[in-house]
Amino acid sequence: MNTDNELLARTRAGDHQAFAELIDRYKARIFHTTLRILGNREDAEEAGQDTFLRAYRGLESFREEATFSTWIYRICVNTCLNLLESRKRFKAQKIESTPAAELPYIESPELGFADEDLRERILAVIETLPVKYRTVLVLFHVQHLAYQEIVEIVQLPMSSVKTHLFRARAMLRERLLDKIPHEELVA
Amino acid sequence: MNCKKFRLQIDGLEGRQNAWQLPSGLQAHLDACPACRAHFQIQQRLLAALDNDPAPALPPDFTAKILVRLEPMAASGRVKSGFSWRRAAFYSGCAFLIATALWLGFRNFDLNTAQQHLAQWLDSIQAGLAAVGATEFVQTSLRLLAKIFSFLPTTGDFLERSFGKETLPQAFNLIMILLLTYLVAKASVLIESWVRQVSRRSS
Repeated sequence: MNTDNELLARTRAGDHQAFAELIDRYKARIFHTTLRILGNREDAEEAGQDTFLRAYRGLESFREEATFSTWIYRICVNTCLNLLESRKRFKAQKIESTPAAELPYIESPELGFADEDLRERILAVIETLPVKYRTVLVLFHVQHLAYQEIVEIVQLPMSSVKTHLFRARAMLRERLLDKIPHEELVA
Repeated sequence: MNCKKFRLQIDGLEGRQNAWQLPSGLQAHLDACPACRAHFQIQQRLLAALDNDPAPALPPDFTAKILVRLEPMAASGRVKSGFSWRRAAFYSGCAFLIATALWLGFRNFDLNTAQQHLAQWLDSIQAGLAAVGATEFVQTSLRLLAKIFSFLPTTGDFLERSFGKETLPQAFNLIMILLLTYLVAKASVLIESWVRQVSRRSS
């Protein structure tokens, strides 16, 4: 199996198929990330495609001191932020909070929330988190990246990444508990 | 341990699902306090749901759509190797111009006179610092600096005696230009990378 760097070298040499292999290798992770950050499939698809296009255009500037994985995630996160900004959903005032009260309240039919229901609720709440918290939360918990990788992707100090993650979890929990009775969340 | 402190520590645990390693103090409180046990269970449940978020189904023809959009770029040959001759030539040209300008500006630079001026300047600073009662450390540092500068002309004399008075200036100037060219080119690359980083952060 070719390494990422081998595929990159072949792409730079003009091998179109090598880049297609790179897309196939990363598309699931990139789409998953864009979907969780942006919250809808149309935007996520657009951001996912743009990520790979920007990577292709930027191959010249890619220095192999970083891994391709970190680099493509960084492009992905920046693309999502740009898209949010262009849709006027990334305003400074809105970064800090979207009121949890705007979330619909779903009555749980029986005591004990099914995992699938819980996940759906969590994903809905994630969309309301400030984008800087959402991004770190998605990279850490959904993409299972290491702290150091997240530091390189979001280009923030380690302490800020940890703080964002802590606040994201706390906010997520607080907003969920506003909508789901406490006892239903206790298994 | 009180409940508030316990919950703060629980919320700060960095583990993912199944990677919770509670310190013994926390475990003891957890066993004794039902409310905190519930808090911990909720935390675990939330994070487990996040950690196990399944990858969504990809949109149909995802790769194919990207490749179609790539076609025009690939046709125009926009992918290049990491090294760009055009950029290298641009930086080298700029660096050469700046280095030449610096050389023209400093070619009549007289090290001895400059050293004398510097020594006078340092003396006056030292006198001023002594007047306002600066520490001995500062004054000693300045005296050391003055000694270093007074040594430089001696080095110049040694080089002139070794390599000949006529050949040294040209060779020295050439070396200086090459060195400055390298430094300016290197600085340009660093500045460019810094500007890119700043613009990326601001975006």
